[in-house]
Amino acid sequence: GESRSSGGMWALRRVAHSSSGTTVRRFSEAATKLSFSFAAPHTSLYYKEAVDSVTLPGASGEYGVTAGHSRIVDELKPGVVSVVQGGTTTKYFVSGGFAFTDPESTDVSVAEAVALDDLDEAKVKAAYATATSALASAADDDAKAAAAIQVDAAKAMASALGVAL
Amino acid sequence: MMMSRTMAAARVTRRGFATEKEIAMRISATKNIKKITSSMKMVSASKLRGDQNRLEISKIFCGWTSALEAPSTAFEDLGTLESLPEKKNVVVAITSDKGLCGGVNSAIARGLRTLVRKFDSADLSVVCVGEKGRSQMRRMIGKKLDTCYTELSLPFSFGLASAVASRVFDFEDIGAIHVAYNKFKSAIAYVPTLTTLSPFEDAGDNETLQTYEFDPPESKDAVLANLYEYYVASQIYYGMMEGATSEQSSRMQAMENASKNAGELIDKLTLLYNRARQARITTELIEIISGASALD
Repeated sequence: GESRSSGGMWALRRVAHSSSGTTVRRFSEAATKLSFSFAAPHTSLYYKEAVDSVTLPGASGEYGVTAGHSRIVDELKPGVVSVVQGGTTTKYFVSGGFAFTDPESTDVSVAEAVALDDLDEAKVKAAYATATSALASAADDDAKAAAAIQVDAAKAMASALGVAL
Repeated sequence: MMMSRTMAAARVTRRGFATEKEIAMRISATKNIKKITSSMKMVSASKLRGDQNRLEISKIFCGWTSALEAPSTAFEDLGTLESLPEKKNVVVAITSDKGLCGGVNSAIARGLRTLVRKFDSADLSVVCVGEKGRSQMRRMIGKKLDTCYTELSLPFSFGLASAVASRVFDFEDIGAIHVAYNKFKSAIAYVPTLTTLSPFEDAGDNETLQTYEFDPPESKDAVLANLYEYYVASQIYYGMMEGATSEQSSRMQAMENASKNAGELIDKLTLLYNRARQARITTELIEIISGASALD
């Protein structure tokens, strides 16, 4: 008795789905979207939002993530995170951090994230110049390391903006 | 008239009661204090909104850590904690530099004293953030206090959390890292809490991490080590945000109580003042009348 009634109800549900075409379309759209979270300590940019795809600056190079991607923990390099949502692409420059991906979602946690548009080309070039001279004249290991990090950061920002240094 | 008032006042002092002038001075001093505590309460209320926003964002920033299920114990439930992990235990205690914030800092200091007494055989070191905690812990658990961070600029940044984390990782042979902070429950309640962050020995130990690939694939151990450092820095930052919010709400409450008490004191003193004034007027009248009747 139980199985027959559930089968009957299931049959009814199938009929309901095929008659209201919009329900079916929405269901399949939702299946291809990626649940995306993206935050820095002081800003939360996305929180479990449905996006089409994301491009991440992974340790082994840039790669795209869509729904159905394999599970991966990625130590991100400073670079660009591109988010494609409903046809529009938004780009962010990020410092180092981590990205956790599984088939339904991607969670990006970084120390710094800014909209790529907010980066000033002239300032990036100036920062690179200051950092390279600081590296050349660095007195001890600590100063050298700090200057080297600034040089790398300026290089990453320049490459994100597509400018030559 | 002035002379008799002064003489009457002097006479009253000899009897040991407060004079009108003294009571009036006390009333005006208390009114000033009430103004200050009221305005401090308003300032705290507006700062609390900013702190709550930062806390909400930090929860999203640390969203990925919930999968690692770090155990959190309220200090009042410390009895349920059977033992600390082997080897070195480092506790990062989050307190404030500024005072007048109620019992938030004492709660952390007392909690750590309980922890140190309960596990007195454990190898424990405390890294303290905040002057108020430092002064109390130096008295209570001085031997275990290793480093203190004071005179910090507000609000606490991820950079500060990273600096504290890198000091923590200077210790060798770490068994576990704990963060002690006041967890913000509501504008009138906070819970002193201890969160324990165990190392990911290798991905095999932690079920969640076991199911993931790592990038770069050839240096999985390095990625795990960096991830653990990032995890600890993030949790320290989160503890700082919770602590700051609890501190601000506690300060708001403390200032509210102070203003209320000041108001009650002003009422009592005003009654005393009026009584003293009436006594003086009565004494003057009696003098005048008896002086006049003496002339008759």
